[in-house]
Amino acid sequence: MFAIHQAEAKYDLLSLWRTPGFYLPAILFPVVFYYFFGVVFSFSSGAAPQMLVAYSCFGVIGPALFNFSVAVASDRVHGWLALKRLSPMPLSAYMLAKYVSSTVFAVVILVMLFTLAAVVADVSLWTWQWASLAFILLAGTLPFALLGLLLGLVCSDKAAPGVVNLIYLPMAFLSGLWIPVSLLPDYVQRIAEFLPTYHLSQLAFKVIGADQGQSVGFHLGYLVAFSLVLGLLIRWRFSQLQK
Amino acid sequence: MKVKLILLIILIAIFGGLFLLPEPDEQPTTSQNTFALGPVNIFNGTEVLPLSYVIVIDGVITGVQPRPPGGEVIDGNNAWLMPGLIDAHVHAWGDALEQQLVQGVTTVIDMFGHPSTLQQEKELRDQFQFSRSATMYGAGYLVTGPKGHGTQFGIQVPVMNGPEDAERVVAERIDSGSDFIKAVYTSPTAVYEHAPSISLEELEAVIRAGHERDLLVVVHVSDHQSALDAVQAGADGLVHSFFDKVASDQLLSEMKQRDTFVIPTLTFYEGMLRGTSTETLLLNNPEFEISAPAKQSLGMKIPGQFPEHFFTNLISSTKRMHEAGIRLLVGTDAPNPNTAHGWSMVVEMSLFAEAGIPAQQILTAATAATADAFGMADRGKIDSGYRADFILLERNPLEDLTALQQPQVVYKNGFKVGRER
Repeated sequence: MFAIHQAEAKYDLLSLWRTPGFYLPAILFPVVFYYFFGVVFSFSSGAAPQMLVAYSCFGVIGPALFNFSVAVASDRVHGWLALKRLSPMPLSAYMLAKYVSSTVFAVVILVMLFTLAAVVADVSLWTWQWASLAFILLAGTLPFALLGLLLGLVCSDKAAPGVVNLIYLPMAFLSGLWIPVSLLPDYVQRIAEFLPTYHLSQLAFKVIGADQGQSVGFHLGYLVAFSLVLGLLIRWRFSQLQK
Repeated sequence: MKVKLILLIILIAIFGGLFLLPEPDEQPTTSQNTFALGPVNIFNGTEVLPLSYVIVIDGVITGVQPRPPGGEVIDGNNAWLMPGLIDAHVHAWGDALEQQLVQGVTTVIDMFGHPSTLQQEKELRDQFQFSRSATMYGAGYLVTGPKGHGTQFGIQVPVMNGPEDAERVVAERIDSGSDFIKAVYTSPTAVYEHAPSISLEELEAVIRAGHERDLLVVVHVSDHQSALDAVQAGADGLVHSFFDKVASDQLLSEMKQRDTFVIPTLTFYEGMLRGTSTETLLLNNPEFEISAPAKQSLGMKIPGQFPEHFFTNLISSTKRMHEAGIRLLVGTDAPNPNTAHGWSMVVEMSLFAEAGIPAQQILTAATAATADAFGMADRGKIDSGYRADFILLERNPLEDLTALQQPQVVYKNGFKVGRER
């Protein structure tokens, strides 16, 4: 049973590994982005740990959103998803494989961002802070994987990358992942509270004591509720696709 | 099997990597802010004391005496001890307060920033715990008109609409934690390009409303006429000087009569008008470990050519104010172009010296005088009952202000902060 899951995860990674055209930009984009705007032309000079947290948050969400949406959309449009579902392989193996791939990407991105922060941006944090950041950010990719999955099930393969960018980039900006949310106008802060990126980033900011002061429960509650709603929507979409 | 092993090794490497990431320096435990130090030369904020011993208990100075106290005494090695510096004009966010403290600035006055920062810092102010950050006093949001100076930085600032709005504005600032009121004012006669300003009537109303609530009201001006208007309107202090004209006799006598203080922020202006001090004192010294963001703001230039006499106007005005007995306070306006948190204090003080102010008064203007002007009860002096915020210097700062660069030890709440040199 688990052999199937393992095999599927392995081959999903292998297929990605064989498309450097996908993984190189996917990994380098957040790293270069952090280096330019978080380190070199830092908008808030001297807030190195804050910048690291914000851009790490931005970085890990990317693969979850893209790997799911684009890959699933393409599999679905080309009939590959239907074929896999007709095969004896459980759907969970397919999902897990995609999640493993996006997590591996997220880990690689985090390793690079943390290294960059430590070496170039002089960020020093307690080991428990580094570890909690890594844990929160990796665990926090789940809601975004679900969002990606839903988009993959809805959009065509050609539309998916565009639609994801249209959601990912404004969402990141409005949640203060590029420019601290406290520097944005008040109405943006009110919008931010509706966005999952805001809640994930606030949880991460809590590790370095730079959050906006809302409770952990509020952020976690939002992310759980957000994931549940997406789960329901995904189930509904699957049942619709089956017809 | 082999694959699993490799995966395991990678996992362990990533996990182990977490322990390789840099950690902050260890925090000292409590009770390390109780000690005796001496013999040291002391500049106590106003004057020089003969070689003395300082006794600190739980972060508070309890005695300054010529004879060594009983018990263990940290060898002061005849070094120079003086109060931690106070930067009277900064804009602090991010790790600004940490940057300030490592350079020996133990307290800063924020002249406009998001009130949330001020509210957080206010809670820490009365504590005596170990801290890596300078203490912050602040204006919170400034008082300005619609589209006025202060609204252009991307923070949404509430604005003032008419003189009748003054009491509301002041009450709002008090609610959001402001320690004093900072208003921005430009006279309608000012010839240079400037943002819309509140009117003189509005300024007068704000000053009145602030004083009614027992708050200090300081005013941002950048030209002579605006300065005169603000002083006549009853401002407690000006947070910039000006360079369009040399300070007139009328302005000086009005300031003297009302005891208005001035934070001239010469460094910022110097960057615009002459642009040599920061390079000579900071950037050209390879032994200073100036961080990249600090270097960036120090090296930033405001474009444009200005007539040479603007800089001499600036220095002459400072000189005239000093000679007239006007209180001048050291403030850098960091992190504006040509400044950086902590680093620029020495530059500002050297510009005070260029204006002919004696070193002793400059040091007072960077410590006791500022604490006094802003009503900080236990800061800015080395004396019994004062907070043990002080810096230890290898050389005599009265002979050479550059002795202040990179202090040997910085004490905050009685705790040693940062590395020892």
